Amino acid sequence: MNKKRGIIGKILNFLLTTVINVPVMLLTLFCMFPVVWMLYSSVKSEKEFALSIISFPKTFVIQNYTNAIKIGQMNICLSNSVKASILTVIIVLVLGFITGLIFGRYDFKFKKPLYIMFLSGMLIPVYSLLVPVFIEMKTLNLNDNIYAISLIYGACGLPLAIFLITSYVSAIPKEIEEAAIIDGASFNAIIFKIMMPICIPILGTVLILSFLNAWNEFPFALVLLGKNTKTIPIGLTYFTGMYSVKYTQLLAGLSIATLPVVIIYFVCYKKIIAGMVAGSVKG
Amino acid sequence: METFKKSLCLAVVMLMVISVVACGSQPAESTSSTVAASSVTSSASDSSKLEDITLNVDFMFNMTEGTTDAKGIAVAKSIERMKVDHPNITVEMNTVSHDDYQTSLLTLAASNSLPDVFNIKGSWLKNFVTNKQVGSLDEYLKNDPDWKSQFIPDALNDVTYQGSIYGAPFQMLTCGNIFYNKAIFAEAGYSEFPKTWDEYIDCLTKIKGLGYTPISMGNKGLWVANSCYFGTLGDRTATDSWFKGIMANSGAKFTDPDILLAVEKLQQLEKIGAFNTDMNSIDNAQQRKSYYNGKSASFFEGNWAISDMIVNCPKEVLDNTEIALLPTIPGSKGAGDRVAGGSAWGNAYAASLEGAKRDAAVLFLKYTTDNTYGADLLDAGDFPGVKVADYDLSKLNPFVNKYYNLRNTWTMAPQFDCQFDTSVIDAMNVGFQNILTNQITPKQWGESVQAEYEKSVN
Amino acid sequence: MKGGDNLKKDFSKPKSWMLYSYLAPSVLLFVSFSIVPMAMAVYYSFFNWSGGPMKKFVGLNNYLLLIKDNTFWKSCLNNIFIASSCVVFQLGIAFIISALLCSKLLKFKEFHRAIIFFPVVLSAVVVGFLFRMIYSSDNGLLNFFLSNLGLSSFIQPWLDNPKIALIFVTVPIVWQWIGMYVVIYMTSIKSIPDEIYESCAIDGATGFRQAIYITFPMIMDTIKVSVVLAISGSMKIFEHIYVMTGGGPGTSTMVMAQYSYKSSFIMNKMGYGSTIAVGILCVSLSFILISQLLFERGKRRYE
Repeated sequence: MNKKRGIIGKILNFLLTTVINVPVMLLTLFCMFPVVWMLYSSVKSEKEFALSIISFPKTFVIQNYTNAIKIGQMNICLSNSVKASILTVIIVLVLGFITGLIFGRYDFKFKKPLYIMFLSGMLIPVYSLLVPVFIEMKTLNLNDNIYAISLIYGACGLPLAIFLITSYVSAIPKEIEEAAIIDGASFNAIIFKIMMPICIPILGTVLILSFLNAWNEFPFALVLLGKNTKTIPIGLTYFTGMYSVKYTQLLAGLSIATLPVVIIYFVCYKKIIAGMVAGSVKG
Repeated sequence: METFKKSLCLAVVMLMVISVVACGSQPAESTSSTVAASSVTSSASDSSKLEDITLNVDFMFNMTEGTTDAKGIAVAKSIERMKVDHPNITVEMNTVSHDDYQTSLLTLAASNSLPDVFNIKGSWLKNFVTNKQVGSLDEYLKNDPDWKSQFIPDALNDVTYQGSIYGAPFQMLTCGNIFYNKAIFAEAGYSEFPKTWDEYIDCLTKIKGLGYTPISMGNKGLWVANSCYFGTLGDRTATDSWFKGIMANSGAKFTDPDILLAVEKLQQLEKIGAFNTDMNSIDNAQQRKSYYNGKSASFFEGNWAISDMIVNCPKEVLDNTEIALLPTIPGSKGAGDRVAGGSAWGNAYAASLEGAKRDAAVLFLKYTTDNTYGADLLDAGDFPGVKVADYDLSKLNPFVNKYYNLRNTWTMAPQFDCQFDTSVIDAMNVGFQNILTNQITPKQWGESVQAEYEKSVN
Repeated sequence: MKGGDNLKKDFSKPKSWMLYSYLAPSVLLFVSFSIVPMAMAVYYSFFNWSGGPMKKFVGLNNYLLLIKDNTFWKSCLNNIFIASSCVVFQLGIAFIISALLCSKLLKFKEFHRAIIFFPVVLSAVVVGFLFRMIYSSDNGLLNFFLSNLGLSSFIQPWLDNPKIALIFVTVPIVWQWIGMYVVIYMTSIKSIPDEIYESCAIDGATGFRQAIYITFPMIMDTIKVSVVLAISGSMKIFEHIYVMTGGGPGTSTMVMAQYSYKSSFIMNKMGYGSTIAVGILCVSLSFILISQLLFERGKRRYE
């Protein structure tokens, strides 16, 4: 009797495992496909690409990368994108953390209006803000300035950061702070010495997302930046001619553009996992 | 107190960040055209009183090293020529990719920060002229008849608004070319391209019966149906007089039976299955692909496709490729040798320029559109807006030569999408997609476009 | 004891001015570079403006036009469809995967965890191009699979049929950001103390039950935030659709953000384009409010 149940149980378990693992594996493979495809297509010749988009390359045309760097001026774009993205991340992390913490922990008079204010900032489409932002930046003489555009990116990235951090912080038990307060810790110490380490997982997530948004941002970069301050998304447009697109070079450029983000993701993810394990809440 | 100090530190840090950012702006010389900068200093050593002028130019041509953009190559040469002839004029060139050019330029225009020189599309003229943002070339062309005479007369149509010329044409397009594979057409029994509409329909039906796609169409960008098909079709059925009537708002309508006949013919092509099923989700570059690999018998596109064809089209197909125009339509007066064509774009200067700077800008326009530029452009594989009278055509690729010789036998018809109001063009384009998916009838198309037209003339 | 509690209360909340001074930098930055442009856009919405130096004040006229504008409402419906699909599928799949990543049933966890985020880093252009490839009639992946599985009868021009194009245009949008929500949920799930799971396991709740009765309620705040993010993202969506179909065929896949762009930059009606943007803001806010209300009602019923 028990043996029978055991076998049926094992079969059911096997079925369940398959039903769960197969779709997820398919999804993940499908998630991997675009990046892999981008990489191997970027070394194809244009003729080969025109004949078949999906096939594996027969010859490896590394010139696509050298051309991409030359035509897209990747060296200038890369350094500008790095500057803008790093500054954006700093702004979003510092300001977002403090604001998210305060929202998540304390109640005060203007909390709801401020919350709605940050929320509405997320709801207007970017292209509608192009002309206002341009006029504003030009009035302040901040256009064509790679550091100034981080202010815009920072402002755009703040709401997301604040919401994520707020919800994360509100789930942290109050006992931790209260213990610290009894020990006589100051407000600053609470924020930076106690809460920050606990929030490393969510801060890592916010880092990745804000870096990504700044790195891939296009409309503001198009109008606010010029010849020497252009970022990678602008450089990538140079592969699209008036009447035709050089796909293989574009893909080479995209591969160069995507690589740093993937690296940052992996680096941060390790930290996030480490932070979660070291965690904290159990103490 | 400690917390207060820390809060103060935070505020100071923020202020420092903002000031670093504000003071970190690039020095004036290397700023792009988005910051209007012009250094006008009189050089003391030069007795001819030539000022140093910097022109901020926004063009959509790629001029980086190794580019294959024909116009970029030719303009780069023009800049070098001008530097030799006029060393006091410096050109700060900013390249904005064609697809994003409209967004960028219109944002600059709305913020009153137009560059000194820019590309302008025919359909934008009305807005720019009404807003007094683009400068007229009439005086300059009057004083320089040699320059004016270099232009192909029809090239000036798209850059003219209400009788005045506002842009210098840098290209000459014909948009309604039918590139067809004569071997496939012969297989269907047509050793020559059909001369009447009914023959054309019969030919397409036979080709379809043979298993090919008669016409590969890629209308995802919305403009192909209008530019490559309707411009010429509309001329066949409604002729120039209807067009002139629309432009002058003298009674011609988009619901006139003549123009609706053209829409009907377009829909007829779709109904007989002449097009590929994914015509609205592939773009003009992809429509060529189907032709290159022999699946389709023809495609409609402008002469800009030629530079792509000579590089990417397999030899067997290219050798069999001929170029034709839409046949005549029974009962309609439009001649069979007319094709929608023009310059579509021009190089223009900002109306806010004055004095020496304005002269320098127009001079730059001359260098980037004259016969020498035209010859450079032909060398690089594109078609200029000037006549380039003494160019040795044998230098050209044989296929390009074939086109050139044919073009000289054609007459230019107006390009609707470079002349009409932008809302009207948009209504036409969206309407065409609906026509091609059989969502609406030609009459409904006419009504929706007419509604936009009436709004635009009031 | 009582005195001790009061003492705690006094010190547990810092003085108001301190809170506000800490909030000041981010509020200042946000107001300067996000609210001010928004206010300018709202200002423009009361004018007829073709992008030149002259603006003509028309008061609420643009808004009256907006209310009667069929294209806007059609686009709005499209956005609502996309937003609902995102909330249901994007968040749903992300939650399931997150829960699975914490369970014993799933193999190759590290692999999944790492790769599932990849699509998030891709630009809209790549995603759009990729899916145009997949849906392509000639040698698209989708048709390839269908014909190999013997389902050729299902093949049609996916993005050309006005009736179904919207569905197929939504798929890449839903797919791309699953990974982002997985990361967000994972971060949140990991902060749930293990003891809770352990004590419930003793009571007999495993796997599926755990997910519904423990994980879900404990990360409810995060889920609420993710719903807000999903709705706001879908209401603003532009690049993906533009790359794949350009709003077509006709206006069957037009979205509000594209309509706003078209009005401003293609039809030279910048005032009306701003009006549409304000319309997007209002529609999005209403939806988010509705979703939050639904959460509250659900919460009350749950308790």
